[in-house]
Amino acid sequence: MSGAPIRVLVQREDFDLAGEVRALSEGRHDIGAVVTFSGLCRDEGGALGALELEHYPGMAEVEITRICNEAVERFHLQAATAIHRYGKIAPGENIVLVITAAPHRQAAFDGANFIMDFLKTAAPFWKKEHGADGSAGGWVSAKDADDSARERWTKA
Amino acid sequence: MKHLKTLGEEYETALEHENVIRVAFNQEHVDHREPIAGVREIALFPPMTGG
Repeated sequence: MSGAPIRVLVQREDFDLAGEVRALSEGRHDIGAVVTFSGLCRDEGGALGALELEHYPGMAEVEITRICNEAVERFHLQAATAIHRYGKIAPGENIVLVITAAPHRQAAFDGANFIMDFLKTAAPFWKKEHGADGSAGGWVSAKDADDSARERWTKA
Repeated sequence: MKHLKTLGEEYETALEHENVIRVAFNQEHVDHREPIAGVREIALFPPMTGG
């Protein structure tokens, strides 16, 4: 354990990106790079009305914390924040936020990338689509591309 | 999973593609071959699509 602060939230409400960055770096003089990634709901060319995110409460937090811990250790991050929303999310709204801090940019970029790759494939969340016309869409299928993105971290 | 599939049509459908089902013991991902002895909670999931 490195003791780097890890903040994990699974919530229905939106998050404040600027406020989260401030909270992570406030009062510190050792951080040289902060990377933030936010994932938004896109409208798929007007076809999508909303995404509905289901999660497995309890394990979602545990799993994201596990992923963040691993990223901190692997990339020597100085801090990490991960916030994932659930419930109905409209196009243009935030879904997920990942913030990483490190002395240099490469570790911060890699750390954020790593967290996102594992978050997409290992955190217990599932997306359902609702059509713009009000029709109930289906569950979003897992993408092979996400699995291969995750696999690159396990190669020696 | 082989046993669960014998419990009815819904089970059979849900577990049709065994290789894509994710398994967690006590809220931690495990390999399909992991022995279940002593486990408090077993969860079976479809592939995750968060993020």
